[in-house]
Amino acid sequence: MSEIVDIREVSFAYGGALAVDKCSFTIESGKVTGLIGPNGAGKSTLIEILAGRLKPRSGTVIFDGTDVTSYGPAKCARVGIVRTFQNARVFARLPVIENVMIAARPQSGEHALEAMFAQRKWKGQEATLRKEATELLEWLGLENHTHQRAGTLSGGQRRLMEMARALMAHPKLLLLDEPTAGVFPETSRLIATRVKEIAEQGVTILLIAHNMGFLSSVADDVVVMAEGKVLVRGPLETVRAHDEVITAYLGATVTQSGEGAGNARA
Amino acid sequence: MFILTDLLVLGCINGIMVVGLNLQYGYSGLLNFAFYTYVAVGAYISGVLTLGPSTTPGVTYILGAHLPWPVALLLGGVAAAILGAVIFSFTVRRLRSDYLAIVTVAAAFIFWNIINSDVNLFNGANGIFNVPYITGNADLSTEQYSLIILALAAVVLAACVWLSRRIFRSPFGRLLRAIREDEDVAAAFGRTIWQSQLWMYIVGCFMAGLAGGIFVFYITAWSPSAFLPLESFFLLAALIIGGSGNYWGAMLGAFIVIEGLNELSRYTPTFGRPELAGAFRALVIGVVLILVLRFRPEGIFPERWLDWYGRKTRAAAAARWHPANWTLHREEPSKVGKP
Repeated sequence: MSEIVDIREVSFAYGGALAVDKCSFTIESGKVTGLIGPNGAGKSTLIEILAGRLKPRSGTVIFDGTDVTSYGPAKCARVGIVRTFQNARVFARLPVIENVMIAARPQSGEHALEAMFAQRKWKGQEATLRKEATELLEWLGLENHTHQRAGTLSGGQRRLMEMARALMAHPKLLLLDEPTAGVFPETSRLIATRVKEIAEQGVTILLIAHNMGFLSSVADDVVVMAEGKVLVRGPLETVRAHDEVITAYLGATVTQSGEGAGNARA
Repeated sequence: MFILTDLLVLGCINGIMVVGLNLQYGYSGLLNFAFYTYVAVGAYISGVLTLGPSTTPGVTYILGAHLPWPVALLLGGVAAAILGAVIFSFTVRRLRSDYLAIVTVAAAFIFWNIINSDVNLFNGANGIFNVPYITGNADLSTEQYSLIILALAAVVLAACVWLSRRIFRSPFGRLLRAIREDEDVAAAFGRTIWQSQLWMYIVGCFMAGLAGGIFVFYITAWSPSAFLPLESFFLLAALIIGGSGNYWGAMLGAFIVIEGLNELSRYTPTFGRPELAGAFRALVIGVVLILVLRFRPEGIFPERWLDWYGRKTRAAAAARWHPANWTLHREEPSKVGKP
């Protein structure tokens, strides 16, 4: 297996607060990598850097052999990095199906002149896209909401719609920022199944999650971050047993008897 | 009778303007308070291009070219579009919507002051006059001429609405709406935001220029005092009342607000102190705007009525209003997690 993403010594700071601190790791092609860690560990910041929304202060990001460190979000999307958002973001006043169709690229009818004067050029593509979007929505259990405005969807439905939208863009690397946050358990099981099926098609997935049950069912590999650095990486079972992980999650001196949990990190 | 044709002509001309503004604000979310500046530019250019070189001493303007009126009209539109493109690349590309609004207000007033005081280019506050009738002969009565202009304005308005409809139904229109809703997400899917917006700015300004051209052919004169920057606010009010994002709404707004509330009152008997009539009109428009925003925030014709995969939505809407569904809280069964 080859490495599709190589993150080298990447640092990022919000003002003075260092969010990502010389963080390095690689993501293997075609695998589901989980990114976990306590709040403020820099997970979301890292996703934003990968998606091109934030520029790292130092370090480089290599994607598929090219240096994408300086790429903006649009350029990142064009090389195949597609993401969902931590708080599902939808085009609220557009129907769900339009929300999904928009993600496909390139669309010849998106040029102003062709849109106005050369309908014949894009009518066929439009029909194909509509079919594909309908199938995707069906696959994710949203078939009864295709024509509803996206703003009327519930939280869980928005997450599913975001996934459909991301898949419509045919990504090489899919970044899922907390796909199961605030989602009904049944739906989160559906998301887990779908994530695995997507990975089987050869899409590399990096996802942030806090739910260990969800992670254990989808992630091949887990990267644990704390205070902007990679703590450990490996399969979930090994990682879970790791002392430092327990420390990072629960505090400095958790012992079997529970003693000292109160004065953690004194 | 003349009252009716006069109102219809002005209605069509304002309709073109509001439909153009709808492309910018309704479709793409670009708040443009300088819209009437583009109308003025289109009007001026169309006017001076049809006029011959200045013969009256003390009247100066540029481009007295004696061009046939269709060419002059188109060039007026093009001039407005070019000005729009230039302003766009200086401002809109760098600013987000709220700041853009402030800059466009400033731009509108700057342009108006330049036009109002630059005697060489625009003949200052006196403007231009005696623009020839587009029919060539001047022996038509005002009524006959207004009917001819009405036909022209109606055709142009129909073309603009047709173009709006095309754009709305195309992937390009969808992209614009997406950008309006959330620029960041559109960018995250590989779109260069400013390119689409620039196109819409150009097309909208072109329509503004056309409207201005027809207007100057109709009243055969042009002066800065007829193109006050404040008119942009009336156009925007018309768009919001009619239904921003919906081209039918834009037309309706133009007819209701600009015609019904603004122009019609020139023909109704005055009451109270006549010098307050203008203020009273603005007051009425303000009140109507507030009422619409309170009770019908999406305008009289909301954008979603254009939903072109419409049937299902319309069926759902019909079901919602069916008496059998008149309950306060209706829970939708969860559809997710099906095998």
